[in-house]
Parts: sequence; C-alpha cells; structure tokens
Amino acid sequence: MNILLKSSQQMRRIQLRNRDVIAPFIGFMTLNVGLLLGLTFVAPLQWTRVVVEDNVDEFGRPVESYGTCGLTVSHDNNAYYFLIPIGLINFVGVLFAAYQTYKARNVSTEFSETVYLSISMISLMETALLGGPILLVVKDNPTANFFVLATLVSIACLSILLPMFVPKYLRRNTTSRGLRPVSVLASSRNATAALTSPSSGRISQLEQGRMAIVARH
Amino acid sequence: MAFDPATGNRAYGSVEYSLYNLQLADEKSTSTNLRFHAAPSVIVAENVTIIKPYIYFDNTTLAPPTLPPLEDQVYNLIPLGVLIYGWVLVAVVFLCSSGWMVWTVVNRKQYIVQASQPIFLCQLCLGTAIMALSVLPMGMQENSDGKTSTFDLDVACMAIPWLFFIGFVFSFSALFSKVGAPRPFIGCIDFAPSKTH
Repeated sequence: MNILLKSSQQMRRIQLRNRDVIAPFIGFMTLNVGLLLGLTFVAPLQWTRVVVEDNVDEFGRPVESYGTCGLTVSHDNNAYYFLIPIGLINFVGVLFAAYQTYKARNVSTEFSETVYLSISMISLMETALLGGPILLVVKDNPTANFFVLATLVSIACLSILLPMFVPKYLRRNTTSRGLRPVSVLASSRNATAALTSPSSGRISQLEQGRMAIVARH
Repeated sequence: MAFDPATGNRAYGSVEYSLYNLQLADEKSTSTNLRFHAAPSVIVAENVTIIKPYIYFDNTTLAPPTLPPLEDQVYNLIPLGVLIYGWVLVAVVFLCSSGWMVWTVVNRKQYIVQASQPIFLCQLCLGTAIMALSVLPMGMQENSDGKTSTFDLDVACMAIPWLFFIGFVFSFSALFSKVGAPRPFIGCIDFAPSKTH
C-alpha cells in the first residue's frame, strides 16, 4: 500500500510482484527458524523442578517445588543469544508494521481494511507490552503463569482474527457496484474529500495523473 | 564367619565387630589437617558390650531422631480447572481459525473475499491456529502417578517457542504483506469520466 502511494507521489509507474509481497514472510520465517534451530541445538529448554528454599520442614528439608521449562544450567548464557533476538525481531516487526499502517492511515481502501489492520497491530503491541511484565511477576507460580500465557496467546490470536474477518463477514454480500470509487487514489484527507465529492470542485491534474498510474495496473 | 542357613544372612555372633566413636582431636588438628580420637564404643559378639557411651555430633549421648520420610510435599501442579480454561481458549481460537478459513475458501469468489486476497486470509488463519496450539504444551506437567517421562516434558518445552513463533510469523507476515499489497487499491477503482468532471 505504502509502496504504491510513494510511487504515485513521484509520478512513477511501478509494478509490485509476488516476491515483493512474499519477501516479508520469507525473511521473518528464515530468521525465526534459524534462531529456533540454534536454541534447540545449542541451549534447549528443559523441564526442571525448582526447589523453593523458603518452605522447609522441621529438619530443614525443602518441601515445596514447582516445575517449569527452564534453561539448561550449563547453557544458561547461550540461550539468551537466541531468545533475545527472536523477541526483538518480532517486536520490531510489529512496530514497523504498525508504523506502516500509521502512514497509510488516511488512505481510504476498499472496506477500510487499513483501519482493521491498525486495530490488529495495536492490539498485538498492547498484548506484548502489558503481558510481558505480568509474565515476569508470575514466573514462579505455574498456575498463574499458565493462566496468563494462555490468555495472552488467545488474545493475540483473536486480535488478529476478529478485526480481519468480522467486518468482512458482516459485509459479505457487498458487490463492487456498491462501493464509492476513486477515494483510494488520494493520499491525504483533503484530497479524499475532494475526490469522493463531485460537487466539491475539480480534480487536480496531479490527482488525475495518479489515477492514470494506478489504472495501468 | 558363618551364615544363617535359613536366611542366608551372616550368623549373628559369628564375627566380632566394634563400633568406634570418632571425636575431633582439637589439640592434634591444624587448619589443614583434622585428626580424630577413635575409641571403641560398642563391641558386638555373642553379646553386645558397651565400653563407653557413644557421643554424637552435639557432644551429647542422646541419639538424634531418625528423619521421617518427606510428607505433604507441595509440587505446585496446575489444577485441572485452570488447564481446562486453557484448553477451552485453544478450542475457541482453533474453531475461529478453521471456521474463517473454511468461510474464506467457500466464499473465495465473493467480491469482498477476493478483494482481501484469500491467500493471505488463509495464511492468517493457519498462523493463529498454530499459535494457539502452543498453549497445549504449556500445560504439560508431571502426573501425580509420576509416569510422565522427562523426555516428553523436554519435548513439550521446546515445542512452545516453535509453535508460537512459527504461528506468529505465519499470521503476522500475512498482515505485513497486506500493508504492502496493491490489490485493495486496484479493486475499487471506477474510471468513469463522469466522476472527474
């Protein structure tokens, strides 16, 4: 979306190929799989039972413990070389995507998809920002940890699914004739108003040029 | 030495043995070498002969209590109710994902689905379904009967980041691609001259 907008502003004709669209997927997948493989073979997570030293019986023996997926003691430091980059890459990816949707906030696309993309991105960021600290607090309590993790993962999934599908489902019978034309060509709020309202005045030559560029696609 | 023919154990009293009481000899010890006085305390033969009362670590003759087995240990296992809560959430997300995917495929000829790139929509559904599956290994733990092997739990531990991040990449890349995809623009353009005065 933003690639097209930028090119239209420069009066330049471009053609987006499949590889332009699939490149983010390939890039993210390669980075994630590489780091996960490194984590698996260099410093795998292992099930450990952590003894709670504070709770002891009359002979000084600890009686409380909890199970968790911990880092292998001998590889403790190595695991962070993989875990931190995985988290950072994906979080920066979400930030960048959120920035892209912010840049395209004034673009009126078909079925207002940009709005729903923004909702998804912001929900994902909010889930990560709020959920991270909560997980740190409950890391020693397996029940609370599982509860929070399950809730966070589900919220993340639903915050992607619902904004993308519910509006489409509600407007499932819409046809192309029912849409307002040309507003998509404008890159600013004012221009959108001008283009979508025939009575508001003539379309500038620049805007007509943009239309021509997009029309060739 | 003789053995008891009935039990096979050593016959009591066939060999004389002694219990020595070791006590730290401070006057002979140094900072690097510890020396002990060793004196027989009890001789066990046909009869048990106490030569000298046994002195324990606290310099008394009172035997410390035998340690009882550990009881009432707290394992902090996740209760079944909380596990069910997690499984229900997984089921909801899984149903939503698979349902929307089927809806997308069935309605792929519909204008609104075509304009939203069905391939990205399916990729999104697949990603969220995989992501939701990561909750299942999070709930794995030792059973109360102790039959869950450590290997299974280790595999579950490593499955969590794999499922979560691969699912995330699938769904997030679909969103990311949609930000850059041109089809939403092209699909809604009407080039009728009347619109441009």
